[in-house]
Amino acid sequence: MTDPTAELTPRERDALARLPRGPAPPAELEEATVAALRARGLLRAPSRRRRMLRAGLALAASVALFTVGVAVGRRGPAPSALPAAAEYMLLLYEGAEYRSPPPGRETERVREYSAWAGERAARGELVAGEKLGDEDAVVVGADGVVRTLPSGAGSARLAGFFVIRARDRARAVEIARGCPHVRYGGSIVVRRIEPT
Amino acid sequence: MNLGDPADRALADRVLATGNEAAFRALYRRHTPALYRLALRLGAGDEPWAEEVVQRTWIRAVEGLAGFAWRAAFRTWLSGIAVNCARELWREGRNDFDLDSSGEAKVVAALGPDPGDRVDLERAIAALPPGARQVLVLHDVEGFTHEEIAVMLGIEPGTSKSQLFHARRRMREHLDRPGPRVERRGNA
Repeated sequence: MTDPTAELTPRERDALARLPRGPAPPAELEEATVAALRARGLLRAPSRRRRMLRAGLALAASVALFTVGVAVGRRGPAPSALPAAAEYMLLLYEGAEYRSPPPGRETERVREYSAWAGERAARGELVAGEKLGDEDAVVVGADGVVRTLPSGAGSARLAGFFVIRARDRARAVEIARGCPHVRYGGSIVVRRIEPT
Repeated sequence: MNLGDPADRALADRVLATGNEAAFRALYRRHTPALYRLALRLGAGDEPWAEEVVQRTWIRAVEGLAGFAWRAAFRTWLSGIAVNCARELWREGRNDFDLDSSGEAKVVAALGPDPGDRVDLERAIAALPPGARQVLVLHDVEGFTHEEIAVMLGIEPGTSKSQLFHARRRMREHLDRPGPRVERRGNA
């Protein structure tokens, strides 16, 4: 193309690059596509035994989620058990307002978190979760400078995280609000995971 | 040269060998967000139409997996199928993009509202005839090369360049034309 006007101007190039990514595909589309492929004999449905095993693993994961205090578990149900929706990270912080369980009542707290996580797993909303260690965090800063980040009073400490699936941010926030963590004065940061 | 992502290839091999549903779902989730976005832009924001394109694309892709030689990236191959499914739907008379003001609002609503230039740009792209729109979206928005577009559309790279030239000109004409503004709605 020899005509210089055929090329994009820097402004046009920038505007095109900044076009919004658009919405996530609707959750029903994945199921409809899988059903269409099954109907054509191109996909085989998982056997009943495998489905039950997967559900059992999800439940086991949810029950084993919490050890002491806050948090979470390993990778939850297999991706195929989950609806097609965006994934969100719930970052669980313990600040000055967080009320740890009194001595001897840790198990009760664990059961409460586990029940909540089990409910999420049963609904196919739980993807993963981990409890983070209680020791001071190590921060690797600019130019590789390393320092420790004390988990002292006054600064919120990241104690664990969940990865959940939700149709939109409003639903993710709704799920977070139901987590026992906020009832005990903890806070949860909700962030959408950008698909890559 | 093998341009296939190893993860794509491993998943595709499992789908091909045993019809493994979990592998398909993983493959689907890796590529459908981008595929759906492409279909929405090709379809000027028509969501049911874009869903039809995506579903047809995956059916064709799984049917044709055995013939895919992995000489192109899986995404490129899939996008090519999507474009051809879109053209098929156009031939069937589905979605002729007669954009009135509500159609323009639909484009903006579907792809995400944003102020100023971006809204105008979405509208200008949506107002292009389907053929011009597909080349402009593939090249200027999705970043495919003329050689890749040529393979997708079964045309010569020179034809792709020529179509892009005309598409850009029409897009600029639309941008220069005064028209109704689409109000910004909700959060981006």
